[in-house]
Amino acid sequence: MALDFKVLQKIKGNPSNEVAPGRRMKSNPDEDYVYDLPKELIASVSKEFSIERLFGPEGEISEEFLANQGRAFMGLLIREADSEAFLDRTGEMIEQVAQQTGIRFPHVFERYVELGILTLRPRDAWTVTEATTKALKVRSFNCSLGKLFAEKRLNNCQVFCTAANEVAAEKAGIKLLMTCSKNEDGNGICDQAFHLQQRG
Amino acid sequence: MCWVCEKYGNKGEKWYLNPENYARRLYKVRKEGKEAAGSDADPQSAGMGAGVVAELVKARISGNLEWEEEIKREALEHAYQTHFGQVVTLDEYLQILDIAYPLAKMTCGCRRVQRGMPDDENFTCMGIGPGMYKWERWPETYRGGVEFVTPEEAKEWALMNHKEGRVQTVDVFGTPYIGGLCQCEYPGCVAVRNRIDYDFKFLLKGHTVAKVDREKCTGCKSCLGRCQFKALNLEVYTSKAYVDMDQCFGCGLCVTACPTNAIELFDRENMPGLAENW
Repeated sequence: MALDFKVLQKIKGNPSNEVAPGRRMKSNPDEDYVYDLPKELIASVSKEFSIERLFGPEGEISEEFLANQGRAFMGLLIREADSEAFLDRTGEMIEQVAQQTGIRFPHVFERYVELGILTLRPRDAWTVTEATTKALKVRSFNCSLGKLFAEKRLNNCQVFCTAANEVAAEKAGIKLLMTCSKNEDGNGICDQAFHLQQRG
Repeated sequence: MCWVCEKYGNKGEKWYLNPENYARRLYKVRKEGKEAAGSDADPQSAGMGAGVVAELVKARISGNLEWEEEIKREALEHAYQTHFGQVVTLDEYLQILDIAYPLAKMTCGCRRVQRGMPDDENFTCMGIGPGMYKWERWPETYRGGVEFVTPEEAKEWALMNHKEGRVQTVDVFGTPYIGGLCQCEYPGCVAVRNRIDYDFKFLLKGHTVAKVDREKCTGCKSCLGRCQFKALNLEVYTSKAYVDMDQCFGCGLCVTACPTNAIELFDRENMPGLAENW
């Protein structure tokens, strides 16, 4: 037990009181919000960036090229996802909560990671296996990007994802330790893990 | 281990201490047209068995035990796949506040309905996880508003609730996803009441049971009012507290009420007679 009788006696306060003035949010039933990712965002990002542009005629792709592409993709995604046309209520609420609590990880960052997956490979199966204020883990079950690389006998797709995620972390104002462990069989199973190094 | 731990625990750990059971995607691709809010994640519509109690009462009055058992069996089968709860200790509750995020104080639907409590005096529930970013989808459930807090603020709030004598539980919204942390009491809490009054196992017992050290107990009675499960009594002949371990849910509210540290929690699974009593 974390507490004994003496410690508990020192606990003061009413749990129903507001933690800080202005913190409590009230709903506005007249507003009709939208929460999920619109297909138009996928179309808008795809118009400027598609997976195919990662592959040239030569076969091998340099890591520098992949990293540049990753950064370009996430830059484009952030610009579009945060634009007036596509910013949804989930995104607004994540930012509002982050400002109230000062906690930007995992969700300010995770939002860009998730939108990145959904816009680049919308039919893939994936899930979030851990999302605490210290660690975020995302598991892809059939990453179409990884499978495409494997088909072309390439094994450095993680460079693209890591570069993209670094841009997302920078935008979220946090420093992360990122790891990527994918199945060498090229079957699309991939685990990405992010650990908070410094709170933004 | 309870059956939920066996299925959803991580390598023999308790299922509600497994961070995977608090994680869920923030996004999916938006569907065409106006989308339903998703009643599975709405605490008010989920109801912890409230929807079948009227039928259960009918069956009980009729004296038809078979009918009563059938109602329970069918309701629980559905509940264990969608919405049920389990009692946790304060220690465990505080650990959970480090692995679940975001954390949002909200009003308790049970106490609002059962005790007619005004929303401003009723912020004793906590919605957790990504679904809380979409809380405005259910204006009736969240009509008192919500208050997002840090883990440290949530821990202070949890201690206040524990001091005020509320049982702390985890609540599933689509097994094994844990989307709520309740703090409630009998008879206000639908889950506690349905378990105590109808033996409706929407609420599972915790992994511990309390035991009184008779040498240390002074018979001060501080613990008696804290028990929400009718497990604590004062022995007539000795004037010492006594825990009916078969009835104990292991919440630990009695432990922190004891000025002489006479009550301790023990692992349920180490007690052969109680190990399968969830």
